[in-house]
Amino acid sequence: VSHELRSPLTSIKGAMGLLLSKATGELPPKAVGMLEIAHRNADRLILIINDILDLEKISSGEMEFELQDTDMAEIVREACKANDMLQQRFGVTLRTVGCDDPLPVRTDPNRIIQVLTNLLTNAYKFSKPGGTITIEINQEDSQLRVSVQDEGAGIPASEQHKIFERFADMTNADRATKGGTGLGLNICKAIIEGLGGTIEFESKEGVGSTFNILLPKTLVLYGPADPVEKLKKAS
Amino acid sequence: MIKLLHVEDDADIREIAEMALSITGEFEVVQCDCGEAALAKVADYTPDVLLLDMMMPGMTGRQTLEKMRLMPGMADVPAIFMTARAQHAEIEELLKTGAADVISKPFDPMTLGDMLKAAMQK
Repeated sequence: VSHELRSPLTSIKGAMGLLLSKATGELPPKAVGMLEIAHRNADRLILIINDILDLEKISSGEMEFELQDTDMAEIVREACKANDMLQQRFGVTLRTVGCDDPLPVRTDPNRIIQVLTNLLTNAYKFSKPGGTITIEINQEDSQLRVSVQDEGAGIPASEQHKIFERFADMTNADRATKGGTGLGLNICKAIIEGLGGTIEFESKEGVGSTFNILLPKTLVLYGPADPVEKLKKAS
Repeated sequence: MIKLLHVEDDADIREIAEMALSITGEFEVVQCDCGEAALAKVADYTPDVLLLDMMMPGMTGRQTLEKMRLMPGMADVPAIFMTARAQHAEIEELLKTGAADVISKPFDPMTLGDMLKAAMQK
């Protein structure tokens, strides 16, 4: 499915990219404006397709987890670095707590970075300029808690029960302005539960939100059956 | 000029890649629409770099490269795969075949030339 979806998108985005770069010559300003809209929405479509393909893998039990003995502090630092440009874009400060010393964990670092990227992106998008996002790691017995806290708009109490459902976190108008797909938190939950953990949040409207990930320090996946069942339940 | 052999079954993507690389003025692009045609081509043409789509009717990009490696002068030509199936494990698997890099679809045509040159340096 990924080949069938991404190949035409490659042509659409590639052709528009070449036109915008003036590879075929100068274009009238109004045409450039229209092309920029189409190009931006092709990017949105790519994000949505990537999320839908992830969900399809989760539903069919084909999502791969590559467990490694790794360091959660390093994973968090990498996720922060990967999203560093958002600090300037949104005028928000990111601070880390508890990331100075190595915190050994057996997990899939790439999937955790995917989850943290999603949570950080949401935190930036819903923060006010001048605000602070705090990402913190705490050790709790056999688990690690990673928290992403923002001082943003918060989630209205009436919306909180469905925040991890697909397409339930925002209206279509919000998605257009904020740039989300409405699938990210559902994918985050499925990944974290697939890695033997839990994800929860606390939020107060006008004050901010904190998303907490709890992960086991040591994880053993006993063949394909266990994670598949977990992922199916999660999705 | 860098001699590139591009193997891709999708005519639109071939045209976009050809245009994007022609702008750089650094590539001489030869294109084939399937692995079989590419194998016939390298019998009398030795490129500096290969760009192979992974999923094609008939031979995949990987199968095409395996056969090319056995042909005269082709053992060490840097090869780059292009794939829509961009899972981390699949990319690792393709790199283990000796590929210099793996480019995910959709790619940015304006940076394709730089990506190919960077992969050739590896």
